[in-house]
Amino acid sequence: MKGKQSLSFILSTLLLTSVILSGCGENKNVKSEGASEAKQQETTINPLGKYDPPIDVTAAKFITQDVKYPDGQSEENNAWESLYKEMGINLKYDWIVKGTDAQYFQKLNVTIASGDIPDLMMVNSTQLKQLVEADMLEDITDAYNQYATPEVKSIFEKDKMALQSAAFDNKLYAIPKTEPMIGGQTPVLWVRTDWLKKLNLPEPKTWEDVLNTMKAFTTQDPDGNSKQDTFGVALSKEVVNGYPSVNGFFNAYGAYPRIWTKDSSGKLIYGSIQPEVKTALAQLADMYKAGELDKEFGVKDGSKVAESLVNDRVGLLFGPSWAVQWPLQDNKKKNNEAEWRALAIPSIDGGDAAVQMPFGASFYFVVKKGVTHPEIVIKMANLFTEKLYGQSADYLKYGVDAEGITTAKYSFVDLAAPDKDLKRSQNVAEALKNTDPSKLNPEEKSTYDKIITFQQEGDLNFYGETYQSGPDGAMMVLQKLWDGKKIVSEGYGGAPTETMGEKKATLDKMETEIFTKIIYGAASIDSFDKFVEDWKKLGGEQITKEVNEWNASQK
Amino acid sequence: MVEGKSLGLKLFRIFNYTLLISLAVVCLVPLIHILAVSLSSNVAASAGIVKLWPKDLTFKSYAFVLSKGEFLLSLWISVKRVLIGTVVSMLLTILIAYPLSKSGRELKFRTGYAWYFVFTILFSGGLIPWYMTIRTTGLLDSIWALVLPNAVPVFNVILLLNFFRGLPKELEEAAFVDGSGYWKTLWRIYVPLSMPSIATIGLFTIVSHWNSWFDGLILMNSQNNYPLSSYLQTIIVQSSLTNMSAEQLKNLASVSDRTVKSAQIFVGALPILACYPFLQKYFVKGMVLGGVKG
Repeated sequence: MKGKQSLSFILSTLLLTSVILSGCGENKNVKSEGASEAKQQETTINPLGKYDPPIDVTAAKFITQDVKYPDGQSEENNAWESLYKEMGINLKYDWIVKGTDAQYFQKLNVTIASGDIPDLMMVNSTQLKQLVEADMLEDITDAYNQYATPEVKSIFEKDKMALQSAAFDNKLYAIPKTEPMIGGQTPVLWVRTDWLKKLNLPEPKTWEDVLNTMKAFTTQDPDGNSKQDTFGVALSKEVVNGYPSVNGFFNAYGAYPRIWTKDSSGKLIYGSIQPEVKTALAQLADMYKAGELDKEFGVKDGSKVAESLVNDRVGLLFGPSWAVQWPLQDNKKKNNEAEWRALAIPSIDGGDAAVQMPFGASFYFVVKKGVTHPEIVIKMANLFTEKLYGQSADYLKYGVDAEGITTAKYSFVDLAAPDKDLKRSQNVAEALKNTDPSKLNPEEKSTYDKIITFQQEGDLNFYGETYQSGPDGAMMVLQKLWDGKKIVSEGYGGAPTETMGEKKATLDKMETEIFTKIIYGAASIDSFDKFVEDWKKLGGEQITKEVNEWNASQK
Repeated sequence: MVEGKSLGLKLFRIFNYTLLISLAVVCLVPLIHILAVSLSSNVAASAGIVKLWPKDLTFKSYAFVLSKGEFLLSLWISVKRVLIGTVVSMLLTILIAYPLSKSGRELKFRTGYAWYFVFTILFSGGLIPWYMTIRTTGLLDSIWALVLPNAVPVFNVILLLNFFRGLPKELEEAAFVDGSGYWKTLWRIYVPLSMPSIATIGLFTIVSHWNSWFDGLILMNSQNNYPLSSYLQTIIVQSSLTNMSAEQLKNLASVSDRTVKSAQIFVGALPILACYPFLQKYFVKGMVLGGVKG
């Protein structure tokens, strides 16, 4: 059975491509409810206007595993669904997947291939490109210009590449689901300060300090059990990206693995093949030899490494701001002496290292071609910003309710300004200083309350929130880097190029393999040069060309 | 048991038993580990210090799982699926295997029919046509979408067909002489005599219905209709950490609840575990007889 399924899956992928390429021309049986209202809408453009009479819209919905509902509510009956009904939008779900995005996109692939797509859906960048090429999506350029509220537009002003990535031939086909990447994926240096104290070490200010700390954490028995069972720094089998990655370690050396950065002439270059990576790898290999890395890192995935962290075996971590919520908070719960603080990663040249940030949008909200109200997706985006942060905002109803359930996740369309998390921390810090939360928006207020609860009652469930978004938290560190322009963002924002689609997975695998081998000492550091050559030969050169063609077309 | 006669035989026995026992242990250990994790506290589980014995024994996760509507609902769907699916599938298997076990003289175009079935083992339409067929027939989102598409497991038909052939022809002839028709002969003579084989095939069918998750995921449009294995798939499988968006990565914190997951896996495996001992005794007999005689 299994074999048959995977075979049929390969077949389906082939079919999917062929169906899409062949155009799916018969797809004109579009529902035409509310055709007469279209005219009426043209005369009065109201970004938050109601549809009267109501319109029916079909949709496919993805719900992440962690979404919860208050008693008596469900995915088809909640605050946001009622709001849509009030607005005259009757959402009918063709189907709903609650699970992983892989499962959602698998099902969506089948739906797209079978030629019967819903009016509204969330797609990934590959599907977006395929659907645009198959002419199955509605051009929403005009709708965006006419309907988007200033708040929504300002989000895309701050994150220009996101909107560009949804445009083909200067026509906009989707609203990108932007995410606040600065708090999500940008690395800081997490240090166990209780271990520093125990070993009489200074807070690491220079890269030299960091390396010394790693050594000391390995050899000087920071957990005091007289056993050599601790490592300098956490590392997983993914090495680059993944969790916990050592991207931050590479960044210290001025290396930016797995992202495209602009060189001095404005061309995009691939971070993993730059000479700085070699220097960083040589250092990691030395550390492995000295026992400062987990001997078994090559087989440990994120949750295994998290176990080491919770078990007091690692004291340094290059990780995102939320690492303190998971798994470091569990470490604190298990061992109350543990203290984790975020620091900026020092650069080998002194000062703070510029750290890498991935692209802010990987998913897109699209409208099927021929739908009478293509602006509906923009109205939903308007509603999202309005009901959470606008004048008629009701955060307790539409954001996070009194019991801490994130109701904002029920919204069909969601998007966030790239610096949202930073702003929140700033405002919360300000409020904490003056002990005056009156100016905070509801989201900020909830962070404020959690920090207060932690400070006054020592509730460890809010340890993570406190050191992520509080005044001594990771966000403050990131704010400093943001202000100092020390953030290196991903420079490529298009859908995977043709060669990327064919070769990228292989190239990435090769990269992880060779990096792992070099760190293990199974391959000499000079094999990095061979890897660079291989990378170029095996498709990397072509990808670089395609990426730069895209880059040139964006101006 | 006969006392060991020679040293060689004794050594052989010792070796044999050690091997078999260690194999059994290898199979059991993961299950015991899951059980131990499900009975431990959250912190102990996420620290990875739970091995085969629960740390900080608690039944919290079981209480949570059993009070969780989604879980119980999908469990019920699975039970329904197994009941309906097995009955339908066994009925069809028997009804197809019997005529096909006759010679070409008794059933015209027998070879043609047989190839018709075998063809479906070798070739399938692929995922998209499969999906489109089920959609056009209006089965999407109903229990029948899980039951009907696989209602005739051809491999099982061949197994049973061979078993039928292995039964002495004289029995059937005697029944005919006594005035019984094909129909009665099948139900009165063949089916009772083939219990080992039918039990084996039944077990195959039950297990495959219980375990298959992919069709549930693709064919069911709402989570309320997921069978248990599809439901477990959505909560246990995490997307690879590399491709996760920031949002999802943040969510890891809240879904990393390993004790609850383990409890669900264990409760999910329980019914099928309980089935095995009762059907297992037929297992070997059913398979071997089906294959050797003929």
